[in-house]
Amino acid sequence: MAIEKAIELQNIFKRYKIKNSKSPFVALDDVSLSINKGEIFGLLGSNGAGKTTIIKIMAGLLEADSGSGSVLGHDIYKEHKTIRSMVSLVAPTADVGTDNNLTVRQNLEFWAVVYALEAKQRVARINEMLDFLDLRQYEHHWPMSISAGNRQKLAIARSLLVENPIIFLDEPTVKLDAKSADAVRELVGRINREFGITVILTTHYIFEAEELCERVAIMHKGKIISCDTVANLRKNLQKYDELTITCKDISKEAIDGIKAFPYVITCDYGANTIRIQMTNLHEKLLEIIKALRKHGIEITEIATNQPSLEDIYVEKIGAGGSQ
Amino acid sequence: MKLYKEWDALKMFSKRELIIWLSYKMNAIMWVLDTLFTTIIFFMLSLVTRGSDINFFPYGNNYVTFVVLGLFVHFISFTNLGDPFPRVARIYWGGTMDLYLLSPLSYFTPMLGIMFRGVIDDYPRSILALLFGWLLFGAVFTFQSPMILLLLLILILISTFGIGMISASSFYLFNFKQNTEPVKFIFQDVIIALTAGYYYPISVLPYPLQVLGSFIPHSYALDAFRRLMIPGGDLLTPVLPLQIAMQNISPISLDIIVLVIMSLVSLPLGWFMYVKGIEKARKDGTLTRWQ
Repeated sequence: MAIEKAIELQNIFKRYKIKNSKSPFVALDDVSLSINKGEIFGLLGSNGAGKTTIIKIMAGLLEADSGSGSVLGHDIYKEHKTIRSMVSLVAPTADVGTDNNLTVRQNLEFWAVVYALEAKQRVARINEMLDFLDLRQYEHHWPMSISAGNRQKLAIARSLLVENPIIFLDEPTVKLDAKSADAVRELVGRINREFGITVILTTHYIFEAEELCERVAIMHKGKIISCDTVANLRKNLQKYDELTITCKDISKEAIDGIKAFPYVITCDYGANTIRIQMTNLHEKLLEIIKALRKHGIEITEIATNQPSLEDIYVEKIGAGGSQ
Repeated sequence: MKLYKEWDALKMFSKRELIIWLSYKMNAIMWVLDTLFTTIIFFMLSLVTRGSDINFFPYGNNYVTFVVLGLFVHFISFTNLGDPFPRVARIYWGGTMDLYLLSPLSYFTPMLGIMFRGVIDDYPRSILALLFGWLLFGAVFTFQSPMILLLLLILILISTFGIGMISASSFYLFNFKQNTEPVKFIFQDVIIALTAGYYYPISVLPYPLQVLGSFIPHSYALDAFRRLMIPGGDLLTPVLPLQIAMQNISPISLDIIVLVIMSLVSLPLGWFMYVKGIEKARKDGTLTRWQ
């Protein structure tokens, strides 16, 4: 069965005028993207990479200079109003859209009316969100008196009041402490799993994209330089897997046997360890173990080291762009 | 979106602004005192004019009544004309324009809703000014033709709000991101301040300024309010330049006709420019501050 697309963009360009400058700032440079319905999609890049610009175009809040695209089948130029009514957005800071003069519940009541929820649904939906986001105990608190993490949850609750099929989270864990950020990340996964919402997430935290996203687009200077599953990005990276084997009775014959395998790049050894750089680690690991055992080597421990998303990121954009 | 949903949203905006306003209790006290002191200042000025041969014709001869009617129009029109621009600025700097646009509301509703703070602040002050004048300082009112008074009130509200919308639209349309902008400055701080005649009859102004005053709705609303509400007000003698030029139409009829025309021009124009401003900002990427 063909995978249903939530968003498709082709060759999108966006430039911003810069005051007192003849040449514009190129925010997006020939960006093409395809996001599946129901997935968590990550936009990874450093500040100024174009993540927010692409999110705003997808949300119908910004018009592209050229290119084409659709969101849930609606044209990004002609049907931007329809698109806006079908997507939710959480801004990079929780304070956007949060009124500190209203309690947590009053904030949600306000936005429930603004988002035109039917009067009968409002209370039930607000209660559902308070429970889902574990904010019930704070419902009568002022936003300023709750933690930054809970304020971010409030912003997410606001965006979930309407049951839209797509939610954009623009750097949802920025400015949060580690514990709060963990809670928000856990929440993002639950939103996707429990409500089936397509989540598009921007981040400049590599581990966050790796932890949450099924697919990741790496952006740099307005371009998408790589877009795939994390596993495929790893696979395509020209960096070798590393295997460290702790063992006894290492012999030169055994090492030569290992080196003879075509997928082994280097093989060094010490008194009790063998270090191998190789490709296709997962497929060939058993073959290596068998070869060592054939030479009477007793293996006590095996450690593998695969390239992380960070390695991929650094490889793709160069050390200058890494965070 | 259905009209009743827009109405629901407006009520919710109003409720929010009211909650915020009420949460600052000192506001209310300061606000009553401010109105009282403003009225006292003009009461003192009325003492200066008492017994002199200063003539307020055709608006009777009670300066306190003359001035509190001026304050009444000043307070209600100040909000309508002056508030849309800073309210739009608040939506922009607060980063919430994006969130409002993601709602099914019309572009108009959030700005109108957020303006309610100014309405809470200034509309009751206009009533208080009349009350203080009447209860404490000897202002006297007649209420002949209450339906015409109501019509005048509606027209001054609409026409000033139309100009306020034009002013607000300049935030996005002409990218005026400062504290003020030319439309508001020219209307509120120059023409209205000089020629609206809140505190003096505009007949004392040099003729060119009187002509300049012909381009603001305040001149006509104040003229009609004062003729109708000040005892001894004359209904027939023309004093405004346009009234003198068109003497075949009674002054109050002409006031109403001009206010209707100003309302019909300013409100749709303001609305059109505001929508164009939002659309331009959507193309430029300047809807909100965060990017």
